[in-house]
Amino acid sequence: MSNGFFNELNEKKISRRKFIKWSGAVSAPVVLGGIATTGNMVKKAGAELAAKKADELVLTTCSTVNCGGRCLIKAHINNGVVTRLTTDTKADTFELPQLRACIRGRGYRQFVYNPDRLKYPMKRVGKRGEGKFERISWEEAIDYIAKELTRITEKYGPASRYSNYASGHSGSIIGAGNMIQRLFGLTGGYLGFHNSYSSAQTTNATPFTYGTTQTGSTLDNLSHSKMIILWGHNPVETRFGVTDFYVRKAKENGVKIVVIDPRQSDTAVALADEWIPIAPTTDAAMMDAMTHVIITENLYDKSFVDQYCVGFDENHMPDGVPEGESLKSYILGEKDGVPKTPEWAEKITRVPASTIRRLAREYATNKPSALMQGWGPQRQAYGEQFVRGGTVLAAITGNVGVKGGWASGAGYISLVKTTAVPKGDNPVGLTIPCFLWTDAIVRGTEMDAKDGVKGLAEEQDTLPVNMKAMFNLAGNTLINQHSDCNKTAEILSDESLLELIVVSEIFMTPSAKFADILLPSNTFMERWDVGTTWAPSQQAILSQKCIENMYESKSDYEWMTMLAKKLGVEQKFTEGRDELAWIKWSIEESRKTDPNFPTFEEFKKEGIYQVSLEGNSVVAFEQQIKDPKNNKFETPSGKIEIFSKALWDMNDHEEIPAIPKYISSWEGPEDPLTEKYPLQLIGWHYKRRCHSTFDNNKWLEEAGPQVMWMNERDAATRNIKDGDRVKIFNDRGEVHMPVKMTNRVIPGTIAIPQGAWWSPDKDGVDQRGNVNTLTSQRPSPLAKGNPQHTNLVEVARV
Amino acid sequence: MIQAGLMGADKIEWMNARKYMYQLLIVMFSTPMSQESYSLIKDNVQTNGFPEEISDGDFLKSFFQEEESFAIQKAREDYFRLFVGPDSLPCPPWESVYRGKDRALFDYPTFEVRDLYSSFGLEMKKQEGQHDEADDHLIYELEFMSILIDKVLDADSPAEQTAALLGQKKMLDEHLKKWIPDLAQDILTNASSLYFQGSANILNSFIQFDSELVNELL
Ligand code: SF4
Repeated sequence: MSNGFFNELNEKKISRRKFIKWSGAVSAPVVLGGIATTGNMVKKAGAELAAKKADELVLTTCSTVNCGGRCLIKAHINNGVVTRLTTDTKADTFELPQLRACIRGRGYRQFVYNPDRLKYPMKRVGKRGEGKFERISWEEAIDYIAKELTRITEKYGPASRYSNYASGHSGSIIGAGNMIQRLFGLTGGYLGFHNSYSSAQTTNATPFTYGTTQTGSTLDNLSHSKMIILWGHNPVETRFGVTDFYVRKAKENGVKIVVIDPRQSDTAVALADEWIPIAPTTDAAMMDAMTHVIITENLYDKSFVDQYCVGFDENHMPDGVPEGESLKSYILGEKDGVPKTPEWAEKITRVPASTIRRLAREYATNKPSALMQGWGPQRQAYGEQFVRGGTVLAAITGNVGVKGGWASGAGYISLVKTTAVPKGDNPVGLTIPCFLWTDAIVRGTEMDAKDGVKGLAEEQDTLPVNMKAMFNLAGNTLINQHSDCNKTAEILSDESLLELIVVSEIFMTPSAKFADILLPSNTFMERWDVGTTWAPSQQAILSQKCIENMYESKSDYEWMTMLAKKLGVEQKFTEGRDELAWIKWSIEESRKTDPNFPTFEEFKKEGIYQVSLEGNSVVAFEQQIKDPKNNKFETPSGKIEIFSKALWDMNDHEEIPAIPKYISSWEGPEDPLTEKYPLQLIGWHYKRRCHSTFDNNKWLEEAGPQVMWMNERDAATRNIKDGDRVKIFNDRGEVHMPVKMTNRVIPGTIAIPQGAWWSPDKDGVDQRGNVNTLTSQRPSPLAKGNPQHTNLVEVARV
Repeated sequence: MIQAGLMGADKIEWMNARKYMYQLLIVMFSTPMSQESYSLIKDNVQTNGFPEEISDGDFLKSFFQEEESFAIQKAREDYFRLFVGPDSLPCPPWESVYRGKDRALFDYPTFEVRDLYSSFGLEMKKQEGQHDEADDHLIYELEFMSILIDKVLDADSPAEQTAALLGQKKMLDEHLKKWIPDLAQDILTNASSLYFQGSANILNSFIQFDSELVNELL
């Protein structure tokens, strides 16, 4: 090149040498296939060059990740892009509280517009779990799934097909898990599941006392209580609907609030007058001792117990049960010689006897009072006893069916009912407890009713076949949120066991790594649904599609429609409806039973259907108590069953007692294994995450880093300092993470916030702090629920 | 200063050289390496033609000395890992991610470059039922540069020429220069192939140089 041009330039600024080099580096056009551009940048349609600014559109939507809150989110949309989010701004009243987004909610734009989202369908190319994938088209993905599904169904039968428990998208109308089951149902059937990872023990145990899980009252009740005991309940961090709002209102009314928890949760800090730390897995011992105080000091409600309950004492027992099996006999130690005194319980629970005694007296004499159970303490080896113990305390103190009282137990209640797209029939008709899916892969053909299998025909003892095809849609329970990650990984990696794993996800989660086919899912802002909160729930929010699908992502319903077509059942699957049409259908169905349910147009305008508590206050079992003649409890006896004959007849009195009893737990504080692993380990719901959702959000990580809590005493004896990176280990695995020294956790117990993404290094040591590296797959006896807070470990400096 | 009304042959040559540079960068960053792009680059790029102090020539030179199919495979794997996924992206190629406060797409730079495109009668292609692509992806910013260089070459008047150069200046100074150094650093830290270590260096140095140059031209 001649230098004429260069001479025009200022040589002080541009080096001649550089200029010559750059101008000679590429000597000819560098275009692929003769096309110089990507073709994505085009001439603007129409003449108007200056972009006409369209008006900002504001649509309500609802974060249908599995958070208890499901807050109202307003998306401000400009030219098809969400540019800003706001939340509920209406007046905050006692009857109609505001539904404001929390710290996580402020990050939703980051969630939707995260550069790390899965963008294209992928097919595994390496070994399963290795994380190597190649991009494929949607057509290829659907073809592959259809072919494999057909092959597996022909070879093993429809009972080998399973849709895993998953809650990453928890809209109440078109859940991915339900929809794939609908598709399975139309093509021969599937192995279903019952239970949840949240509340298996309480949903199974509560009905043995009350005949139902619907034991919740509306939350305005709390302001009529004299005392509220939040037992392992942490609504400030978990956001159980607006429970924290109503507890705070009660506090403002002068109601005393006690939190019982191994950890001084944010709820304990923000709302409690008293925090009682307790050793995990020993709650039922404390309940037994409280019962002891209430019985021996004659503080129980005798007429209530006589009239409404079965099994309190020997005079009120069902037929066919030997002497000495009543609650009173057990508590006083008449048969086993061990009176369940506060002193007895102190040794087990580490709660001083004087505290137990005082709390029992306060609860029994300050009527009405509310004992509200969280779901954390029921996620333990014998969580059913905690559940039943709470219901019995409420019953013997006469706190059931009265305003300001609380029946305890599962606590479900819904003022707003939505209608889900029907799953349809399952010709196979079998379900397993959702926690036992790994068992169904390895030893399905050995699993019988004792393992909690339901729906077995008379001549059928076990499941007909092991699980072979797994659909894990919008969930991280394929490994991260299930117990014992190392064991699970081993099972999943064995390609001779599961022959097909389909995962749909938004991000490359630990579960997604195990996919054979990995489908990019859209987010709640790109699909239609309706959000409802965890119980007690008084609202539904229209979760509108605010923007089009990002990248090549699709909603689960969209790709399932493609799959249904391939399998020849499209019409039956969709009934001619897309997502929006199903929403409209669902609204009309709901309006049939609840005329106040808004029409689609109204719903779209308001975004929310929130029922005011004014005039809608509900007290659970009020009718049964006011008018027992005409309103029986739904139990076999028609009464509150302190003693359950149904449980007695199960004939496993040690682990499934007919009255609530403290059962010394494996991997509890009394297990001889404490010699090797002296510390108890629990998890908790961390405010920076919603289960495992948002763990990849770096901004929230700054707000709440992943640290393990350890009491200063336990740290001192191990020479551990605040901020040290420590190893936490037991026979199931090892985790490395930083430690926070604190007196906010009871000595002898450490706590790791649950939901961190399992990140094993090459030696299988988790480097992120996933509590499930250390948890066990052993289920609870009655519910077959997950025992997540039942673990023994040791901790040392790395 | 650019002469009014006409452009000498050497200047045209130079504009073309710039265009080829942008084309090269587009090929490097817009698709995973293929046999075709491998040969294209090998044949058209003087791997020892880059300024020595950035040593990118060496990376590329060494790259083309590796066994061909091995080299292509490595460059492909790197491309997906760095820019596409499915794993978390170490170098997300969007300006908003680097400059917005959320490390997310569709922050203010998207709308700024959208306006810039629009002022030259350009926009991102819209597809029915799909979210618009983010305008501030590395490739589109580079493509915009290449289109505007054509506009200089095809200009009918000095005013048009100057306008097209001003557009380039704006893209360089207000956008590319503001985030490419960080992106290039992330690529250098995370790339495992010689190819992308070389490409990152070329990208960063050329953007710096081209900005100086365009500022001088105006
Ligand atoms: S994470 Fe839960 S509480 Fe927070 S904004 Fe979302 S729905 Fe509301």
